[in-house]
Amino acid sequence: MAAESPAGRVARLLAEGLELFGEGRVDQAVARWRVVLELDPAQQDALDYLESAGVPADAGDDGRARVREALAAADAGEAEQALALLSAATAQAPDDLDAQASFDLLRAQLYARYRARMGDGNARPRLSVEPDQLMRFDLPPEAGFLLSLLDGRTRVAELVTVSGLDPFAVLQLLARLEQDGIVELAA
Amino acid sequence: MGRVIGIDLGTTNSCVAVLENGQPSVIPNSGGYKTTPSMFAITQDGKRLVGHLAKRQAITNARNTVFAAKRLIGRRFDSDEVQRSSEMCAYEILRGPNDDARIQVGGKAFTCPEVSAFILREMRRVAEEYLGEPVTEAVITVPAYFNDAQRQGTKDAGKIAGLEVLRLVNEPTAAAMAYGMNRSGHEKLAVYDLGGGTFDISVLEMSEGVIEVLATAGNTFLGGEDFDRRIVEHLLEGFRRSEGIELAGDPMALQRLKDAAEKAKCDLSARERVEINLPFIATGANGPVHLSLELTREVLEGLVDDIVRGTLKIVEQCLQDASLPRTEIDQVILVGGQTRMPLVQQAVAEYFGKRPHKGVNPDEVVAVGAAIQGETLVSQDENLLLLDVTPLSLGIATFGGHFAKLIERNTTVPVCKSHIFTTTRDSQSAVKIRVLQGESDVAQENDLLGEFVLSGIRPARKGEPEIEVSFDIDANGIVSASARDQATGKEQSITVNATGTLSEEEIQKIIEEQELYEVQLKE
Repeated sequence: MAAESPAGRVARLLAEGLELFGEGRVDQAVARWRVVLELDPAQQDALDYLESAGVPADAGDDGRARVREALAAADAGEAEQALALLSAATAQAPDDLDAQASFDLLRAQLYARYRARMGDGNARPRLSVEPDQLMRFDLPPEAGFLLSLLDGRTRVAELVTVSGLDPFAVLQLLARLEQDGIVELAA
Repeated sequence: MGRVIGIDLGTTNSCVAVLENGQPSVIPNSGGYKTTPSMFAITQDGKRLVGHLAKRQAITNARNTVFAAKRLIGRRFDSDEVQRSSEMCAYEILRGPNDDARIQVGGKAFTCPEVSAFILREMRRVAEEYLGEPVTEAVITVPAYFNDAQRQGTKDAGKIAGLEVLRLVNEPTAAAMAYGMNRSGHEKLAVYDLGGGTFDISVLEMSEGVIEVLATAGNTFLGGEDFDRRIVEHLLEGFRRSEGIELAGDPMALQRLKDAAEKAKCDLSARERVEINLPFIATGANGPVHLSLELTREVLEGLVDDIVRGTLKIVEQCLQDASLPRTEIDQVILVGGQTRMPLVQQAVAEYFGKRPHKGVNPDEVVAVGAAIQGETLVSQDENLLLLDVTPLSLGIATFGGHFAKLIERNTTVPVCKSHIFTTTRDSQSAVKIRVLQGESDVAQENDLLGEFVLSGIRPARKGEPEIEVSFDIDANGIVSASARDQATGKEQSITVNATGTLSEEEIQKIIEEQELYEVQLKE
């Protein structure tokens, strides 16, 4: 998943959902489109696709549906999608302890995964594209800010400290930037 | 015997040097930088940061990042300078129990010497890492304009940092010492020191190894940071006009703007124009918005010309104090990173009618001079004798609210002077000696350094008793005062602990607290 702006993310999720739907993976397709509606409740394409799939646009009061979709996404290895769905589920039903527990567990798993990827905080990220090439990407201001702190000498743990951002958000952002080939990690 | 290090404790950046085999070495930190930002911060999760790491989050964590503590050290809370700082800083400045200024970050109130001690401790650590041995002695530099309370606060900071401060040296004086290492003959020098946060000008006389400071003046609220601020404002205005987006309230954007402004300023000392590119600085209606502006040297000079001209007015005052026309200055030394700017060099050259000497690195020269002074003290080298001056007049409050000067400003130190005073009432049995520092004829407009009472005066008509009041200023600029009744021989004296400075007990408590914190860190 790319580190991208909301508009870019919507477009990608819609396209992925269509592909999954075409492969018969309906739950996962629905999960994508539901995430789109979390970002933009009036997004017409997502509403149309869900209607075509015979699924209500809103999981309604049934937070269980969201949780099921999240678990389906997690089973398919779509951990980040699952986290987004669980985040929506817990926001909608703050008293749902199962959803909260699933969210916490998944977040912890993802955090451990990112951290291992970052050498337990010791990796030293640096830009792997020319600075004037950055603008062809579609990134949020937080990514721009984080990129401005990279110098190939500052460790990930220090970046977390000086950025003032949530540590999970920093690691997640760096993982996405690396995945997109914008950043490389030196030991 | 351990090595003596020289520390330039700057408002914005600090530097440490040592003499090795008679030659000065400026010590780089672990990142390879020869200067370290004079910043201290506490993060949201309680981590303490010093130096480069603190600087990198200075705006995003502004409320808990301390910079320019040097502007506050030794000052009373209700002084104009502290109040002005309070308006400019995001961190909170509080009134301390001694009416001093205290800094609140991370939920804790720190004294100014404590904050400066964090920086000094970092410089000490850098030196110890480089030298591979413990360091316990240092010479630390201070602005020539520092008064007694500010100097005492700096000494206290050294003590808290585990350093015995062998000497406090005025920064321009230290620069002259570095410059004078291999020089001979007789010269009059002007040392123009424009650093990150303060400006000092000193006129010195060097003669066969003897340096005498003739006069000094400055502004503790003028430096390179002001230049950066003008650039940031220019960028904000440009972006506002071109994109209709206000970045002034966005801490992440401001951090990037500040860093970019400083870099552009430095780059424009070597180039005529630079591109400032800050991608993804904001989000607009159509997605990411980037800042991309060209800044030319000409525009930059237009933005800051008044600041540079302002420094020359202070130079004029200093020359008047030294009773010296500018034409009699033989050499001009530039100190401080901001003097790398072509506009500054050109303005100084035009003013003095000669090109400034650029043979010394302006970022490092003060620390080098401090290291030389340290070696001089340890080896008791008589070949390079340093004479310095007190920057402010010293005296006492007298009847009617007047200020009687005993020692005029720019008097060479160390110095001891006395004057006879008398009583103002019949049968007056005691006199209160209020020690003041400043230039106003009105006592209350000057800084109160301390006060004491001499009692037991034999009853007499007013005007008859003879009270000899003596002042002693040592080589560090620290003041001692005494009063003696000539008739009875009774005497009272104090080493002036300026109002607002720390007591020995307070210093010891701070040292213990910081050692405890260090132990916790190791765990």
